[in-house]
Amino acid sequence: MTAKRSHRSSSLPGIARGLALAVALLFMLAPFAVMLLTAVKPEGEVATRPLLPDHWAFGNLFSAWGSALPVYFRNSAILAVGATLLNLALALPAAYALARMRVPGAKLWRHALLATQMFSPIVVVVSLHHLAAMAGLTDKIAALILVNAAYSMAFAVWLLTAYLAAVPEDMEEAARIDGCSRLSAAWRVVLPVARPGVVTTVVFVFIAAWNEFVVALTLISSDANRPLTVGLYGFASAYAPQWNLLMAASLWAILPVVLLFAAIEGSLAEGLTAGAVK
Amino acid sequence: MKPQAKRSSRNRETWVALACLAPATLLLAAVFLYPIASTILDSFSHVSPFGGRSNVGTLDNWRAVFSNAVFTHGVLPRTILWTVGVVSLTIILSLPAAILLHAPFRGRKWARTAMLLPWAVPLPISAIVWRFILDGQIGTLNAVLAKVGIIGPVWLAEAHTALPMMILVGIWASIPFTTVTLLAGLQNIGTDVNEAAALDGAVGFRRFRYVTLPLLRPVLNVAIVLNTVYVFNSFPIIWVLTQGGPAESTDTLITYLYKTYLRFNLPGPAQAMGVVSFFVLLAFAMTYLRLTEREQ
Repeated sequence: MTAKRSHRSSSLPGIARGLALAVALLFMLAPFAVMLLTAVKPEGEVATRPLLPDHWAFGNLFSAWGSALPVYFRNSAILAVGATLLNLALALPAAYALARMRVPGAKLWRHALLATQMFSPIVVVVSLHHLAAMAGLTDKIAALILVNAAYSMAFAVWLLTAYLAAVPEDMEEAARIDGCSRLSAAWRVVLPVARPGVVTTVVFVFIAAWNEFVVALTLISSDANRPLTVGLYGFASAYAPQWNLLMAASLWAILPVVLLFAAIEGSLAEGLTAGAVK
Repeated sequence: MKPQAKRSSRNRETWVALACLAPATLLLAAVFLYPIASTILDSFSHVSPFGGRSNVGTLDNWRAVFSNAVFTHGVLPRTILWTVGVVSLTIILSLPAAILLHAPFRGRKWARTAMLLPWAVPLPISAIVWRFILDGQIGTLNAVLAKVGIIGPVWLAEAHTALPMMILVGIWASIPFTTVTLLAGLQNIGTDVNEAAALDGAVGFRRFRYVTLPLLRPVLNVAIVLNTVYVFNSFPIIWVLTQGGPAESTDTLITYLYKTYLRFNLPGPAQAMGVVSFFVLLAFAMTYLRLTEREQ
């Protein structure tokens, strides 16, 4: 009891805590407020009304689609779905092997994987550009799918290995005694139990691919193949951007990842620190 | 089972395991190993714009890079300033944020989600919004300043105001990951340690300094190393805000590399900068591996 009381008296006063938190949240959320409020301003008020508009122009949210936004959206969707499927197809067997089998050189593999996580494609962007040219993949979304699937591999394998290893081996063995092959035991018994890990991985890889910038900026040359990040950057680089429509387009562009993020926020924190924090 | 049969089933398992790892390994080799090898080789060659290599063994690229004062006296020191500035301030701000979010209060879950939200949003798009906020003529920041009678500068037009603003946006982008990592670390410490410390009379700042901080140390180290790598690698914030300009006054190693390749059309020197970046990252990767190894 005394311990509890001393704990309370020692902590900062509640008001100071609340204030600090409010300032922190204001700073973190300010850009989203600006995005939202600018998106619904008539063009004449963008410069003159910094906070709330005099007239609300909700129509901007629909007019934004009159630009190349649908094309960029489709490209981002192809890129993110493609990268996620490819990543999962390669990461799942790799993680299963690392979690369940004796792999020669497993430690080396894990280390190499962890090292790739520290890497950024920008460092080898020139070589990636040349490689894509050699493979006939410049200006192709397929090239972006390959690079993004590879750059999310470390995270995916790391997280999936942890989840697969946590599935009791007895369950798998029981299924095999019942006549399942190893593959079908893994597919029908292990995978469903490890589903939360698979969901987190899928969302993470999707978000990473949706948000990627520098590889797409370098490898994609025609407007028709640009994903949202590069496309909207193009809008913003125009001589006099129409900021209200650009912000409306940005809102649509972030919507899918914000929704996915909200859906798995709890386990994401776990995943982000996978390998770093035990 | 006979020992013979056992061994052969083990052999079989090894082959299955290798088959499981092969596709991922192949992709990683194509996207990581090959470009790294090619970058190193290119840095010692004459490189055509299309990737053709000649005069292998020349040091011309390295000479060009290190005799360029913009690189040695501008870009390199600025890269250190940018990385150290963003990482240190991020840690200083995230630690109290994590402690605030660790304490129970109403709406904590919402506060935590809001804090992490910027992580999920594409960085180039957040950077576009920041560019609007910081715009000299129509930007939100100057409009708000004008309301209290201050005429704000054209923030992104000159290095001495653009660089601090870049660092501010860098901090904004780094806080979510850092706070969540530190928060996970705090939650791992557990309440019994804190209660024991309180019984021993360690309270307030003393408890933080002598109990919480040492226990948080491993997680803090990881957060520092990972952040250093992420900030060093960062491209979208700088590119969207200033493109490294005006002139090359806000370029870091990473944006200058990009510019050297695609704007100055100098693939060879760009590759030499890539090699420099690669070894910087390798050093940090080794540090990171050692930290996580020690943890296990």
